[in-house]
Amino acid sequence: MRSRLQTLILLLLTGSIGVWVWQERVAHAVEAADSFHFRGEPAEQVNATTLRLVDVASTKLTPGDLVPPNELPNTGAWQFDGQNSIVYAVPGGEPGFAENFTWEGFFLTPASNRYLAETGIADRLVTQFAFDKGNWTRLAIGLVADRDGKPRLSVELEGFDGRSFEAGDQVVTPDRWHHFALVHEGTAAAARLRWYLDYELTGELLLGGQANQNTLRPPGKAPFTIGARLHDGRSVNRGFEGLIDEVRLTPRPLSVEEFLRCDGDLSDRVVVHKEAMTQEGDAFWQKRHRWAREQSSSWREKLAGKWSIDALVKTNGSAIDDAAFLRRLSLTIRGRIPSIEEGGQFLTDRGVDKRQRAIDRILASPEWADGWVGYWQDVLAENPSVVFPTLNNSGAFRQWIYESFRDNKPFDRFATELLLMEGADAKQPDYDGPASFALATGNDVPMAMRAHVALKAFAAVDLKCARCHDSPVDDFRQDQLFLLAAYLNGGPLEVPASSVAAIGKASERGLITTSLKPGQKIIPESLTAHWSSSATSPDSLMPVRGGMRAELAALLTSPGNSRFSDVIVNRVWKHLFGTALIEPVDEWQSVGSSREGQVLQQLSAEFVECGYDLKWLVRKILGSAAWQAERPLRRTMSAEQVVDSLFLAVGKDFQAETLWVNATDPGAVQLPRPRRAWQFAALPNERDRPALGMPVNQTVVDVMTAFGWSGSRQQPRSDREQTVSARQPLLLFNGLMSQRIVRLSETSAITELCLRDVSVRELVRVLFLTVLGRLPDEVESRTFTEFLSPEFHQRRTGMSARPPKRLSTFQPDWRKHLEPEQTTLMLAAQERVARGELPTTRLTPGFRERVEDVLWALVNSPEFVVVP
Amino acid sequence: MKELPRNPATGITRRGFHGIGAAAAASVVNAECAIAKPPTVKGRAQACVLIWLGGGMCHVDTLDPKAVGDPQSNKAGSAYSAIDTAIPGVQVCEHLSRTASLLDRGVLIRSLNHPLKVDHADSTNLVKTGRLPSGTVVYPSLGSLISHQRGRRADSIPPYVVMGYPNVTRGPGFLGSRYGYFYLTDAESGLTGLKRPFDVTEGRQARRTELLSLLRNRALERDTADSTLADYDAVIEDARKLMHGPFSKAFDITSEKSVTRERYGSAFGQRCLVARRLVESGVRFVEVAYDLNFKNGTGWDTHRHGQKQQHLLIQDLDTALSALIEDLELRGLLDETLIVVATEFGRPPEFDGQGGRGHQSAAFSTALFGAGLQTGQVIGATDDLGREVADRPVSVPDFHATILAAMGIDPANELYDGDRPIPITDHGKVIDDLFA
Repeated sequence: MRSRLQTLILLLLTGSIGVWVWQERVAHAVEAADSFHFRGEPAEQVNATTLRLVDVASTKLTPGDLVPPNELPNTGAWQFDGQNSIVYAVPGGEPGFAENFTWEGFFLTPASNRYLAETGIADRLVTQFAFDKGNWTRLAIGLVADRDGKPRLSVELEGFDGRSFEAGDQVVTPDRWHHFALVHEGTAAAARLRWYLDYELTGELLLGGQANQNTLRPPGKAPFTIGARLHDGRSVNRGFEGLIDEVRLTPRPLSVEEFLRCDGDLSDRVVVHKEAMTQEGDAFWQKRHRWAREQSSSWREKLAGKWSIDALVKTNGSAIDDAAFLRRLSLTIRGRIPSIEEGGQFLTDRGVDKRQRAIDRILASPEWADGWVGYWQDVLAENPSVVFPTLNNSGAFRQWIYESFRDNKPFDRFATELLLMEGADAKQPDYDGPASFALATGNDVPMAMRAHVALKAFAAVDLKCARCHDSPVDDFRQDQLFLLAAYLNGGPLEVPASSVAAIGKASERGLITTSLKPGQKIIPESLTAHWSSSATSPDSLMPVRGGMRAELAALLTSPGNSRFSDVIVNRVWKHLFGTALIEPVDEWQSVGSSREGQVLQQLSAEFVECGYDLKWLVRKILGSAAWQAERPLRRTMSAEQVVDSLFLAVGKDFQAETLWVNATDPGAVQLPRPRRAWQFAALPNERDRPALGMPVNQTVVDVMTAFGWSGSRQQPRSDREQTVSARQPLLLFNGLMSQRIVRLSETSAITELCLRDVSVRELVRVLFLTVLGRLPDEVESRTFTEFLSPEFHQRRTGMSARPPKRLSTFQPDWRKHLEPEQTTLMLAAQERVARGELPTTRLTPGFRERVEDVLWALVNSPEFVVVP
Repeated sequence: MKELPRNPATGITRRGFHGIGAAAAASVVNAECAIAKPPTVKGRAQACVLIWLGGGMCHVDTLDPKAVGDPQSNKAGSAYSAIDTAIPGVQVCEHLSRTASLLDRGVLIRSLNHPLKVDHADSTNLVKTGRLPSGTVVYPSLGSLISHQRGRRADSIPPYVVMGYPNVTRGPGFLGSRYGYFYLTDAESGLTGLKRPFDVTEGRQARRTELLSLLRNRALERDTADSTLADYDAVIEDARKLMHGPFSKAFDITSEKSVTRERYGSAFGQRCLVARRLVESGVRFVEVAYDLNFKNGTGWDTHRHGQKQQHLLIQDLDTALSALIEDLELRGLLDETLIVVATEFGRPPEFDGQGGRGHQSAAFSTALFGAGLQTGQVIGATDDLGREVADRPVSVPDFHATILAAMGIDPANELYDGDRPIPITDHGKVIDDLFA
């Protein structure tokens, strides 16, 4: 009798179902009569899939696209997430904006953005490049904090002959729309830059001549970007986080009267988050999901109501208390502990449906995506290299995973997009999209690696053995894996000698066999021939494009085979409960007739019914009494949970370095400054060269590594190790990251807390709630109150806050890392990082140290790391 | 409980299969035994210090000197003159004079080689793990292998410490984080996480500990649902032992006599001194990376101008290495400590356009000291200019097998990646001459 797995493989090899592919959206650019005008479509979110290169001149424009410059009918905008930008390439020599031009548009920066005093612009609205015989100049307008920590509209001009930077006079108000304009007037020899905030002149910079070495050189074929600056005109460096709209470039200096105007109050403009997907794509998937519902209706009906989650999960009967519930919910879904405000509100809420409301609120949060990325990075072996790629480095597709979850992309669509590996050229490692999945550096057959990863992830089939030889345990042969690889390859694949030669000695002994010969050609046959003959495939849903990869993706994710939904439901179950219905989640045979199996099948059917909606599935499970009950075996926090929770608790920013070393190798990626723990990567220091160090990142990565994270993911991994070791408490006791967490600097939320008019007793309550998510018991309250009482009433010094400084501005540079000065700079930066942020002067040192000690004890309590 | 996958046809698990396979394999091995001696483990070392010369130490300029060449006239050859050593008839480069006089405590292997193209990362990975990369297995490093096989030497002393930057080639691979390392990058500031923060006085630490004790006790009383919390509490206790026990004191080189500190020399030498202290405290495996590129601008990766000041590196190594050998010997620890000097590849006798050298993996050198080995000999030889192995090639797996054997580990052992059997070396053969 065939096992379910063998049936699956057979399906993979012969095909019996249809496949359909959706169309990518077409980039959008509108040109007005005498200027280029770029506008955010209603509710357009800028992300990896909208990162685009548009040749403005060759964009076909119809008269209907022309927009009168002073009419702004749409209420949408580009929403930037700080990581991406829109890129427009201006074709050679045109338009000649070197001498006279005006940039303008509207922007909004959210109050949640933090600005640190810097010597360059961190958040760029618009950047224009100019290349001239290999030299480049970069002009940017954006936001940077002045010494007071408030954002100002600033201009930066950077070129081979130096850099000019000037901040504007007026402060930008967060959460409000503003108009910005940048006017360049003059010649390449001497020019004047003026910039305006809300139609008022706010800054001026003279270029060329005596005033300044810098001039804006005539642009050659150079791109300009909205929302970020590009490194080498290609990859995003530091992005703007917020909204931008109606950007216009005019080839002459405009007067204030000529600037874009918006009827009514700028603050009325509303932005709604929407899935960054195409309408055609949506329509296709809706159709497919309808069909899936029909397909699965019969087995769904058979199972309906047979088993409930609650009947399955054995609990000791008691539900966890509110504090534990909120902590469990927040950690599991968002990857971090609840904030103090959330905790306070939840504990005092008397509503009967408060748990369900909390579930819905947290599921609706964008952090739902942050809670999932680390898991899928592991499962999909996302393994970008910041320096020279070595074995099994992929490109970066973390941002794509993030956005997919942010959009709650139906999960069959997620898997399909990944397997299509489309997007920019996969050889461009900076492109953060599914094309990056195609890379497996140093691997003789990257697609065999990817087939192995995909089958493990989406079908719980382990073809590890079959990578090098026929498996001696199950019936998977090497040629089967290679056939899968050929489908992913999109055509014939030759077996390299290195893939079959490695087992020489073992095969001589007759222990292991291989069904492949070196040099053998594996030719995948199109599966379309099988579709029409199959009863499960409607003719109306034929593939548009995508070729062999699309066929394989369709086979894997087809509703005609419940394996896919079974595997995903089982993975989700494990993510939520800590144990799976069937273990191990990445290698199992059949659902079986156990109660676990029955529940799995039932949830799986419902998952198909709701259109592979992960949030729906999670919501259903979270609402069950079983999920809200005591666990037989809890877990300690994951690395990401520890780090994100600690930084959130004290309201501090990582101040991380950009994961970028300006490497000469084209395979090296550039990753943005992490704002959440999943955004870190293996640090580039395998050569033991101090000048390649990233002193701030190292402090965080040390902690994450101790808690089971690995930035190097050469292999897919579905389970992290659950071992505790002395390394963990040691780093939380004394590590540099921990020192920063505990330190009451000007940027610490705890500092602000202490300055409030509270009683010492209240302060203790709030500190417990902040770190442990619960109130202190009587003994704790008494002891900690006593401890904080000395100096409490005299705690305020009355001094004003010192402006915060970046911990480190050192950024390693491959091209310079052998210069001794670089090592000196890095070591100096390392020392600054070791000293940490300056303590606040607004509290007396004696009292500050006591609060720090309390914070230290709370963070180090074993209670902190246990997920309730 | 994770159940091992079973073959539906035979009902055996993968591990079970391996058992059968091993029995079958054993008969093959026995047949081979008639010809070759079965590997017997005679090594007795308790600890290992790996001195890692990242970048690719040039063998013809150090341990395997040849006729002197000239970068000006593009004549291939060594950059320095050779001197005699404590092993009769064996010479090394003139800048290794102190080590030369101690060379009878060691073994030179001059015929190490590997097939990889000369990329630093790939080659480093190979020499550290003893394995060519495989698409599906992440192999453990030497330090993790030895920690796994030999375990801790003393209670509450971690088995594996790295003085260098953390990276995957030093990692535990499939053995899991339990066999990972503690690391530090600077001998003066000590181990990451081990030392109290600079702004926390002893008194302050005491009150912190007191507050924490209260929280720990309350938590242990309140939370008895399962062992998760208690397990973490137990490692908090381990951490406190590490902070206050002999392991922590090993990093305090200020307690050494100034004459000793001077004898070890540079910052690299001070790390070697920490290594000796760690070995004394009971650490199993210490890796000391030679990392500073100050002295010649390139470290051991002596392309172009890096060659010019290479002699400073070699002298620095000579000072530190000879100090370590002497010091261990003086303390009676040399016989139970294996010192390994290794690098990812060597460099060709030819000079590049600017008088430096490129990479070469076809032949390069390494040295082993102490460990009660049959020292005072040279294994293998290269051709007249050190380009190729001329006699007795030693592969990286052989090198690994020899180190493992010196550490009293049977190189025929097998490990498991989950349920998949993996031989501890990639069919490496022990250099038998090193064992009595």
